[in-house]
Amino acid sequence: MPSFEDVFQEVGDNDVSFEINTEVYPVRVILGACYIFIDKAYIYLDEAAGSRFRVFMRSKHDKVSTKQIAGEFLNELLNQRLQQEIDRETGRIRELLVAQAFSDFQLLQGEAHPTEGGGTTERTKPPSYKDDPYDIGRLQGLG
Amino acid sequence: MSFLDATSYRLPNSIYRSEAILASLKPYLQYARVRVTDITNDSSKIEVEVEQRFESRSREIKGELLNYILASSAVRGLKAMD
Repeated sequence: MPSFEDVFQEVGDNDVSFEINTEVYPVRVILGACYIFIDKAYIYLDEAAGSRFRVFMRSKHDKVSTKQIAGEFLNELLNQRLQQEIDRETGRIRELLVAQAFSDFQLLQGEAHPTEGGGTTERTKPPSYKDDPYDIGRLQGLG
Repeated sequence: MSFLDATSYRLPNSIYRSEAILASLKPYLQYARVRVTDITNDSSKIEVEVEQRFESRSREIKGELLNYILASSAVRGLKAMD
């Protein structure tokens, strides 16, 4: 089994090169990680065989090893990948909450709604967790 | 030899966007002669030759140019994907 050190190829003085598989880390994830690291290292990406990119990296500061930065870059790829996954799962809920926070109208169920005539419908009782109006308990296998 | 010693770079369009390449060049034209080819096909190629009076900082100039193009491409690319 190759060691973790085998991931990096040292090219020249303080340069490091390694490959990224886009099936594991999509282009969006790679771009996000690169953007974070452009103040720490010079980065150049080239296409490699298959669905891979080869990253060439060199630390901007002589006192900081490029290998160390490259290791942090790989961690950031994982972080970006996870953030993308969380965004896919909860992005719409977050957008709804932000929209509600800045809206004059009640976007969620259980409050007054504006009508075409300019008035509002009668306020209904706010939903209680005991009533479980969204059926969350059943979805989580609790009820 | 460092990748920053190269005089030309192939910039695959899956990462580097052609409009970002063109928009990023201007600040570097005072330090380097830059030639861009193959801008509309699958991959763009830029050739960078640093002015003789800035040769001692050649690596930094090329590195910053590559980073600037990458950052511009990332901003445009991520916006387009949203």
